[in-house]
Amino acid sequence: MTIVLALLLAQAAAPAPDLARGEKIFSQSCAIGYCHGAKGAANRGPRLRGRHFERQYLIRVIRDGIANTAMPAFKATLNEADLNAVIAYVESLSGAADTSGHEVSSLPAVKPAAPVAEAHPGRSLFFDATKGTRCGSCHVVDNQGVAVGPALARAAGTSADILNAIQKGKANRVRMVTIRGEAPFPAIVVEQSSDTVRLYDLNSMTPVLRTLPARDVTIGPASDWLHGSLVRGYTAAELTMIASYLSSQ
Amino acid sequence: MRLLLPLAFTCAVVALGQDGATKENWTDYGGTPASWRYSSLDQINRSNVAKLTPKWIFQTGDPDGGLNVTPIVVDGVMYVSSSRNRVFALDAETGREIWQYRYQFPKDFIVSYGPWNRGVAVAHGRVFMGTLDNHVVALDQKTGRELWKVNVEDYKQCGCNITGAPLVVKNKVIVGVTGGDSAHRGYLNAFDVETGRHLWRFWTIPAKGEPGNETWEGDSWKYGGGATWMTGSYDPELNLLYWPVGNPAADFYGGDRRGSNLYTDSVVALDPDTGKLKWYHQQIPHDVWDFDTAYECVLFDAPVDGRMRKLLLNVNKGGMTFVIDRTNGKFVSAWPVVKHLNWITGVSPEGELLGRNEPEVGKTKFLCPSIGGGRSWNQGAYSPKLKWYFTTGIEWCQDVTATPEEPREGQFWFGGSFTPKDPPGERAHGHLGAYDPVTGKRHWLYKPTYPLLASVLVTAGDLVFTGDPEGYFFALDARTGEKLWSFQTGSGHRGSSITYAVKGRQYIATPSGWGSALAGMVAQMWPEAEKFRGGSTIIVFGLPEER
Repeated sequence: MTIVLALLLAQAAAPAPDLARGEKIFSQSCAIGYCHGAKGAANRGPRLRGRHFERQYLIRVIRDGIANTAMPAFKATLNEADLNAVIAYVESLSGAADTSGHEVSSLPAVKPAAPVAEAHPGRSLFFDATKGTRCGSCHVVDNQGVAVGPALARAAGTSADILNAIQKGKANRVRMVTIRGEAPFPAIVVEQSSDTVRLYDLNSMTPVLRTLPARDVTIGPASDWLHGSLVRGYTAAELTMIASYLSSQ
Repeated sequence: MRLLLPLAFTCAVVALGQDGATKENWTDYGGTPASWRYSSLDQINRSNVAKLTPKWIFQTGDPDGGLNVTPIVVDGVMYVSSSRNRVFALDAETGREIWQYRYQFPKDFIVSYGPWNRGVAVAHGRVFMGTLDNHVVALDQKTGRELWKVNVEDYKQCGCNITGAPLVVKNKVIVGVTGGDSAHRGYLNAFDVETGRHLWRFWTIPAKGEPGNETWEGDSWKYGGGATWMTGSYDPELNLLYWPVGNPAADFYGGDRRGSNLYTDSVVALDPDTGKLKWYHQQIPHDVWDFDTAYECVLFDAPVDGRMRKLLLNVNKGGMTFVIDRTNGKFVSAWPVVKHLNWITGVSPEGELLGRNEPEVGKTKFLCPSIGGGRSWNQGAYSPKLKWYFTTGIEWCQDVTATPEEPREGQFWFGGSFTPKDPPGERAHGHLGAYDPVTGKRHWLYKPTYPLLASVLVTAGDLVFTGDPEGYFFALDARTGEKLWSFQTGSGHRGSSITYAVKGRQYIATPSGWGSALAGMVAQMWPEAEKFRGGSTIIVFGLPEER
C-alpha cells in the first residue's frame, strides 16, 4: 500500500516529458536512414505519423524493440528521461496528418558536402579515413579507434615529446616473431598458453589477430622495429598537428 | 535394401566458356563464382518433385533478423551463418552439428543496419566470414576454431559493417562492405587466406588526383557511398574479378556531388591479383534514387547478333537489367524486370539512361519502383540448359522528397525521405518470371500473394525453387512456371535455397526465417505482414528411400 502510494507520488512529481527533446532524439535515433523517416513519415521502417498507437504498446516497443526486425531496444542506449521524451513525441505524431515530406520547403539553403567540423584538425588526421593506415587503426583516444596498440591519454607530454615518440619511438611490446614456414615479422603478443599463442601480426596495413599453435611460434627479443615505419602515410606537418592534438587539454 | 536413383550430371551446352553449374557441392555464395545458382543435379526433377519430404531440420536458436543465408556445402558438410555472426558446420546428410562458432562482439557493441549475415566462404581448409563490427575472421574448417581475425575499419567511425558473403579467388579472400547510405567512402578488400594480411584495397571512389575523381564535386568523394555489400563473381579464364558497386550517398539528393560519381552504380572488373581496375561499366551516372547496382553478376555466354559473346548480367534496384560484354565492359542490352518503372523512360542503344525523372527538393514526387527495389538483393538464377534467367520483381512505387543534408562521417546520409505506394491502377504485388537473359523476352510469370524475397534456385531437373514470406517453400516447372510442389516451413523466406548431393543422393536445402530491413517495409504495404512469424531454420528435403 505504501509502495503504491509512493509510486503514485513519484509519478505525480515526474516532470512532463520534453517534446522538443523527444523530437531531437527522434530525428537522431528514429528518423535516420533505414527507419521511420523525418517526423515519422516512414522510410524503410513503418510510418508513425498519423497512426494511433496504444501508449503501453509504444512504451514496450521503444524500450524492448521488436524481435525479428530492425527495431532495437532503446532502453539499452537512452536514459529514462530521454525514453519518456521520445515516447511522448511519437505519441504526439498520431494527431499529425500524414504529410510526408511537405515540410521541406522551409529548409536552409544547400551547403556543399563537408564533414561537420572536428574540434581539432589533429583529431581529424588521427582518424583520417583517406589514409591507408591511420592512427585510429591501432590506437584508441577519447573512446574512438581500435585497441591494438596502447590507448593514448591526451596531454601525456609535450607536443615535441609526442612527435618524437611517433616518429622514432621503439615500441617495447613489439617482438620479432617467426612462424614455421613464414618470414619473421613484427608482432604484439596478446595471449600465450602452453598450446596457443595469440598475437597481432603487424606486417600489413591492418593488424591481424592470429591464433597459432604454440609449437609453431618462436618469439624473439624486443625488435628494432620503429613506430615510424607505420606512419609513412602522414606528412611531417600532419604528424606535428597530431602531436599537438594529443598534447592538448 | 534401397535403390538409389541414378545421379547424372547434365553438362548442358556450356562447352564454350565457364561452367557455372554446381554438382555435389555448393561451393560459393552464387553456387560457383559464375553466380548462376544452377545445379547440374537432376535426380530430383519434374517427374518426382511432388514426392519431396523433409529429411532433417536444424534450428540456429536465434530468430532475430531472420535467416538470410546461402548455405555452403563441401564434401558432405554444410556451413551456415546466422544472425550475429554465428557459424554452424552440419553433417549435410543427417543435420548433426559438427561444430559451432559464436563471434565475440565488443561489450559496448550496437548493431548498425541489422544483425543478419548472408553467408560464409569455404576454401583452403578455412571458413571465412565478415562481421557486424567490420572484421573478417578465418575459422578452421574442421574444428571451427578461430585462426585469424582482422579489423577492416573501425565500425564506430565508418558506420559500416559486413553482411555479405566473401568470395575466395586463388589465395585471396575478397570482402565487401556496407555503408552506402552513410557518409562513407566505399571499398573492396583482399586478405591472404593463410595469414589474414591485407593484400589490396580497391576504393570504389577515386581519390583526388586519380582518374574519375573529377566526377565528384569538391570533397563529396570522401563521403560518397559506393558500398560493395553483396558478393561479386570471378571468371578464371579471363582472370577478372567482377564486383557490383552500390549507390552514391546521399541517396536522394545529389546537388553537392554533381557529376557522374564514378564508380558508384557500376560493375567494376578488377585484376584479382592486384586489385587494379581493368574497366568499369556504369549503369546509373549520378544516381539520385538509391538504385544500387549491388546485386549478383551472372557470367554466361550467349549469341548476340549471331556471334557467341562472353556476357555479364546484373539487375539493379531500379528494376533494370544491364547486360554487358564481360571481356571489356561494353554495353549489350538492357531490359526491365518490372512493369511500373518511371524513373527513366528507357535506355538508349548505347546504354544511356533516357528521360531521367529525379526527386526534387521541396516537392513530393511519385516514382516507381520503390526504394525497396524493383527487385531486392535476393538473387535470380540462370539455367544454361534452358538458356533462361529467372528473377523476382516487385511492382510498387513511392512518394519521395529530396532534402539537402550535411554529411556526418559514419552516420546515415539519405538526403530525403519516402513513403511506399501502390502503383497506378493496381495493388502492389510481386512476381517471379523466366526471361531471355539478353533480350528480356518473358516466357512465363508466376504471381504469388506477397512479393518474393528469397533467392531463386534452378536445376537440371528443370525445377525452380524459392520460398515466400508466409513460409511456403515451393517448386515450379522451370519450363512453364506451373507450381508442382509446396511445403509450409513455419516462417517466411528471405535466404537462398541450394541443392547438393551426398553418397549419390540429391538434397534441396532452404533457410526459413522471416526478417531483414525490407521485411519491415513489406509490412507497410501489406499490414498483415507485421504478423508473419520469425524463425531461423535450415530444412533439407529429399526423395523417399525406395524399398
